[in-house]
Amino acid sequence: MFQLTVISDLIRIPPHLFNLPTEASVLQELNQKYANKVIHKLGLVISIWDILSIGDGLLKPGDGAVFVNVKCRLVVFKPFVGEVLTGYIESCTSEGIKVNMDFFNDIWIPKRFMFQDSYFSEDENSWIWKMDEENKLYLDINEKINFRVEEEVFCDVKPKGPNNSETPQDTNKEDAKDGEVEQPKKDKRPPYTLIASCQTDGMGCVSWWE
Amino acid sequence: MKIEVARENFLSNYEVYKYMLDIQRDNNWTFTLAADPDTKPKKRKRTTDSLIDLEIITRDLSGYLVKNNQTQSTDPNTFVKMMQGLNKFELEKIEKLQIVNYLPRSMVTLYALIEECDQRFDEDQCSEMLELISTLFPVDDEEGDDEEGDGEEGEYDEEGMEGVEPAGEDEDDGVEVADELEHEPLYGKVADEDPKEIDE
Repeated sequence: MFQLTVISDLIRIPPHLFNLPTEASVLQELNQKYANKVIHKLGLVISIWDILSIGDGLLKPGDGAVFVNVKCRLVVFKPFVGEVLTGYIESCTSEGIKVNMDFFNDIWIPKRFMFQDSYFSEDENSWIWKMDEENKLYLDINEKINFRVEEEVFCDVKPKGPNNSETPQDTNKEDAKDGEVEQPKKDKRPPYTLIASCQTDGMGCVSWWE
Repeated sequence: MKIEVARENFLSNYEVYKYMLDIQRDNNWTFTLAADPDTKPKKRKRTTDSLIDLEIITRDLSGYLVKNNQTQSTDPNTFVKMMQGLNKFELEKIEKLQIVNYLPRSMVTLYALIEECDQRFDEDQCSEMLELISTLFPVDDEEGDDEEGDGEEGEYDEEGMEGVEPAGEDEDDGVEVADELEHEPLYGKVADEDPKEIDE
């Protein structure tokens, strides 16, 4: 689920942090910049793991802050394709199931990746898996389920330029949000989405397999 | 920003959880789920309002890991034995990592974690793997931790995790546990000693 990534960056340390030891201020600035953010094509950064090297401070005319070249390691959440994860069902629609893990909420199981012989029931608003003639298993909201990661979709969320019709570039192979209502603003697409499947043995509600 | 090495090492869920606890303790944040009862609420010396994102992700991630029982600490020797046991089978690094994270107890779960399990391993080998897991990690999850209390975790495994690193390097296929020895001390504290003092 988690990996360590080495990055190097130029960090600006504002003057009011000069009283802190260099490492502390650099760590604070790094965390402020990266914690809980998605790096395109890399994953969701959880936090800084450690600092590998800090360069000498550089000054820029007109700015009282110090710029330092830092090399550090980040803890990144990036499940690999085929990994089995556990999450909670947030909502069910006829197009699929939206799953969330508390810290990461953009996981989508489209209907084509559901169990064979499962269908969506409008009245109960849940997916039902018809295992055999008599057994019907329900996938309700807030159930803990296991799912396998099939694809990762990164969407480059760019800020709008001066020309307001600029749209973010998609790196999707498939449309992740089949069932979603079209968004008024293009930049509402989450930067990092997982497409998952719930098809084989061991997948689905955790309680079924225990 | 430049990404030097996209994937240097994997981290097991437990290591990440431990790190989250460290962050919380350093910043004196108290969340109901993962709070260390020994921490006295001190006045914040530095303004940490800017670290709101870190606080959010730490709280959410610790909550998630606690809810999913990913917080069982591991004695480093057990971990090494586990790796030695698993190295007998041809398992990919990520498969071993998944096994360590999920500790499958049943065939079904094992089949789900390992690709093409039935083709690569026969039933005996699979049951051997399950036996290895159940002997090294006895199922007392539901009853409560027999191995250690909650407050002891930090101290016990700070040292423990350091022991894992050299052992892990001996095995070529061993899962590379993150390099605790290189872990830079935060805010001038030495990472090894302080948890001991706080917990006691």
